Amino acid sequence: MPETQALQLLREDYSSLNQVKTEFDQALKGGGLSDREKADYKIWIRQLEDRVAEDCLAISTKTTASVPVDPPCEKILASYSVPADIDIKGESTGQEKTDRMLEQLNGSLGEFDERLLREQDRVKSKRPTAESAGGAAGGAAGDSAGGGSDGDESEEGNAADDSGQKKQGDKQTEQDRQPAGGESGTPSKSSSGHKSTAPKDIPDGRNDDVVARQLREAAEKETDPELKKKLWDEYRRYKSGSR
Amino acid sequence: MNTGGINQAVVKRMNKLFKIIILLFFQLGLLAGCATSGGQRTAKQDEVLQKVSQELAEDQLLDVWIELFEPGELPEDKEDARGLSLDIRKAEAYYIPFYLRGVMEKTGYWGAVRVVPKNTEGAELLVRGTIVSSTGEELRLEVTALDASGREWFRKIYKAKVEATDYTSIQPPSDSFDALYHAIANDLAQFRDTLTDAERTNIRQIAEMRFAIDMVPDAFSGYLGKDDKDRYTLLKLPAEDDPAIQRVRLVRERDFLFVDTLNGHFENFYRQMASPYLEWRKARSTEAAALREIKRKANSQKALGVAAILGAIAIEALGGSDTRVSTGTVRDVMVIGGLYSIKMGMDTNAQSTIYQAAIEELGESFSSEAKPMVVEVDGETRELTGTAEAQYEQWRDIMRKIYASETGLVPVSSSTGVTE
Repeated sequence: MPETQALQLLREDYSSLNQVKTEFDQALKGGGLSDREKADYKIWIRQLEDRVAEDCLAISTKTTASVPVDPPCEKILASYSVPADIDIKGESTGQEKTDRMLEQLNGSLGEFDERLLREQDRVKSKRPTAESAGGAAGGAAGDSAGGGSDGDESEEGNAADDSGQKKQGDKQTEQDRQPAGGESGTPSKSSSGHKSTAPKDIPDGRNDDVVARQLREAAEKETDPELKKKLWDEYRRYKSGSR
Repeated sequence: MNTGGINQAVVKRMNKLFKIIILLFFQLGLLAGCATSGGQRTAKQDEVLQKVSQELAEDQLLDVWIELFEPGELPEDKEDARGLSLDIRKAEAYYIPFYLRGVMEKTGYWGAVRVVPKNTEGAELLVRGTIVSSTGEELRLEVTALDASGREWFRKIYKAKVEATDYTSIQPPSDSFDALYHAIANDLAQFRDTLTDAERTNIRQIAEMRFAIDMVPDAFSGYLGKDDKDRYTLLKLPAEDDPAIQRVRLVRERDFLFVDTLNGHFENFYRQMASPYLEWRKARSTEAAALREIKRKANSQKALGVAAILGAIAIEALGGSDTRVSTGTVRDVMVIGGLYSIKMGMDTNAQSTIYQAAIEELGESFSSEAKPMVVEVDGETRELTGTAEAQYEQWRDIMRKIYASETGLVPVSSSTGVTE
C-alpha cells in the first residue's frame, strides 16, 4: 500500500474513532443508554482503536514514512497490544521452529556421541595386547580414546615389560632374517653351532667384529698346524688391539 | 726502480682484498641472520625434560595439537638413502608426533596434548613438524609452533645423533632420541613461560572464537579481527549466557571427543609400531656403524699390506748375503703378512657389500611391516575425519538457522552458499 493511502486510511480511522468516542460521551451524559448499548459502543470503540493502531503499525513497519505526530501513533502504539488471535500464533510458529531445530541439534549431538563411543570401543578392542604393545608414548601413561586415562600405570609397566620379552623374541626373529654377516655382535656360527677347535685361551666369538670373525673362521678352517697357530696368534693380537 | 708503480699496485690489491673481506663479512652476516630466524638446535644427550614445579591453574593450561608430521624427502645421495623408504617415513610421521605428545604430557605445562590430522582447526597451540632426516643414527626434525592468534613461537631444526650402542639399554616406552624430544618440549615450555596470564587467556579465547566463527560465522565474525599477516585479534567476547556460544561449546566438546577418538587409533598404531621401529633403528645403526668400520679397516689393511711387502723388498735389496740369510724368516713373514693384509682388505671390501645388503634388507623388511599399519591408520583417520566433517557441516547449518530464527536476522549465506 502506498504511503499516502496508508496515511489517509489512518486519518479516516482516527477521525471515526474520535467521532464515536464523542457520541458515546454525549450519550452517557444524556443517560439514555441501556447496558447493551453501552457494551456495543465499547466494542465499537475498541475495534476502531485496534484499526487505528494497526494503521500506525503498518506505517511504521511497512513504509518508509516516519510515524506521524497527528494522529499520535507513538502514543497509540505504546498502549497497543498485538491481538492474541493473530500474533501469538505467529510467535508460536517461530518458537516451535526454533525448538524443532534445537531438538534436531541435540539429537544429532547425541547420535554423534554414540557413534564416537562405539568407535572408541572398537579402538579399544583393536588395541594391541600387552605382548605386542610397544608401551605408551613418551613414557607417559597412555590415554584411552575419549581423553580418559586408562588409569593403569601398571598396565603400561606390564606392557613395557612384556614388550621387552617380545623384543627378545623379535630379536631372534630378526636374527633369523639376517643375511649372512648380518648383525655384528651376534655369536658366529662357529661358536654357537659347531664344536670349536679354538685353543682354550680363545674366548667365544660373541663379541667378535667382522675382522675378528674372519680371522677366527680362517684359523678354524686352516689344516696346516703352523699356519693355524699363526692365524690364532693374529686373532689374539687383533682382539687385544681392538679392546 | 719504479717504487710508485709498485706501491700503486699494492694499494690496488689491498683495496681489492679489503672489498672481498667486506663482502665475506656481509655474506657471513646474512648467513648468521638466516640461522637466527630459522634456528637450529642440537640436542645434548643429557637434555633433561623440564617439568612444572607446582601444578598450574587450569585456565592457564593451553591445549596443544600436534599435527601429523610431514614425512619429508629421502636423502638424494644413494648411499645415505640406503635402507630408507617413504613407507618408513610415513610411519614415522605418525610415530614421532605421538611420541612427542607423550613427552609433553609429562611436563605438566599443557592441557590436553593431542595429535591431529593436518589443517585441523581449533588449536590453542599448534605444533607442526617435518622429518628432515631419520636414519636410526640421526634424527633431524623441523618444528614450528604457533598459537591460535597466529603468532609463531619459533621454527627450529632439531638434531640429535646416537650410536648403535645407545640402543642397548633402550626399550619402549623410551626412545633413543629422548634428548631431542626433551629439547622440543623444553623450548615450548620456555616460550610459554614468557607469556603473561592475560596473553595465555587471550590465546584460549581466540581459539574458541575461531572455532565459533567456523561454526556460525553470522553470529561471531565480528568478534575477531585478522590482519594481513594472518594474526588474529580479539575484538569482543560473547556474553556467558549467549545461547549461540553455548551451542558452539557443545559442538566443541564433540570436537575434542572426536580428536580423542582419533588419538585412540594413533595410540594403537604407536603401540604396534614401537618395538619393530626401535629394532629396525637399532639394527640399522649397528650395520651402518659396522659398514663404516669395515671400510676404514679395509683401507688401512691394504695400506699396511703394501707397506709390509715394500719393507720386505727393501730388506732384500739393501742387505748383503749375510743379511739375507739372517733376515730370511722375517722377510717371508713380512711378505706373507703383507699379502694376507691385502687379502684381508679385499675380503673386508667384499664384506661391506654384505653390510650394504643387510641395511637394504632391514629397510625392506621394516617397510613391509610398517606399510599395512600406515594404510590402516590412514584409512581410519580419513574415515573418521570424513564422518566428522559431514557432521560438522550439518551442525553449522542447523546452528546458523537457529541463530537466524532467534535473532530475526537473515543469514548471509547458507552452508551451500545460497542466500537464505
